[in-house]
Amino acid sequence: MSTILVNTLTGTSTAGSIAVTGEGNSTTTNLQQGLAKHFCIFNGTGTVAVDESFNNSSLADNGTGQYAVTFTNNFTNLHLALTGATVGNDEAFTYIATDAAAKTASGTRFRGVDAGGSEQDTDTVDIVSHGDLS
Amino acid sequence: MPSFGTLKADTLTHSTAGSLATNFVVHGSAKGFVSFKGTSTVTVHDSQNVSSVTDIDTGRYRPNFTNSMSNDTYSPAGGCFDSGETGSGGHFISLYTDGGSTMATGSLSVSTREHVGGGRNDPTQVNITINGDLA
Repeated sequence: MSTILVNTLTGTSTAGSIAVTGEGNSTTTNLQQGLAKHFCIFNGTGTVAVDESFNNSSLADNGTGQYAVTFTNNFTNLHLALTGATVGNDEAFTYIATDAAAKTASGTRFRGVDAGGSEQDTDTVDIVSHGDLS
Repeated sequence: MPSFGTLKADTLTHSTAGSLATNFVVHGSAKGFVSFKGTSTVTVHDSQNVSSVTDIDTGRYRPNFTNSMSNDTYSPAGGCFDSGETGSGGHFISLYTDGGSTMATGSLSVSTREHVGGGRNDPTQVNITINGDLA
């Protein structure tokens, strides 16, 4: 069949596990594990505003270069893999939690830090989260 | 409800959310991720297609893949979380060449460095995702 009309995909053996054949036509990858479970693209300057998001219920401005997001559907634990990038201001950033407790299954705090180590707001902030949904 | 062992299809269509060609599912799914503790004894918290993480040296790690990538031009991304960081500071993550190899089909060499000063250091948590083609 060339097209499947479907609203939900569920594994037959294990509901939350569907194998997808990889590009090499032999190895399989797990569909659920490989999907991003959350992303948020927002303007981090002035009044922060979400441009586009998925599974993101809120965005908070906690100070210069300091942000927090909460998830609509929680992860199973705090060990989600959060990665991100920024666009604008001609500066290089990474994302840094203020402390370990700032990262939870329901949301995370992070900072935009410039090359000199100072928090700074950025025009566009993109964050993506992989891991296990609860 | 019909149940299939294997479905072969080129397109998935949702009743309201639109359609997606299944090559986006195959190519667009992350082929690996790992979240691990970077301090003292490295401990993997959660992962997909990462069999282990080798602690090479201070601020140097090598995630090893369970299933190899098809080539060394896949796309890694990463970030670090620190415990106890206040004010300025923190770590950034980059690739480095370990024994002539940076991005191999079966592993990846990453370095974590302090923002201020740029010295190699171990962050509390390291997060890496891998996109690209499986072998």
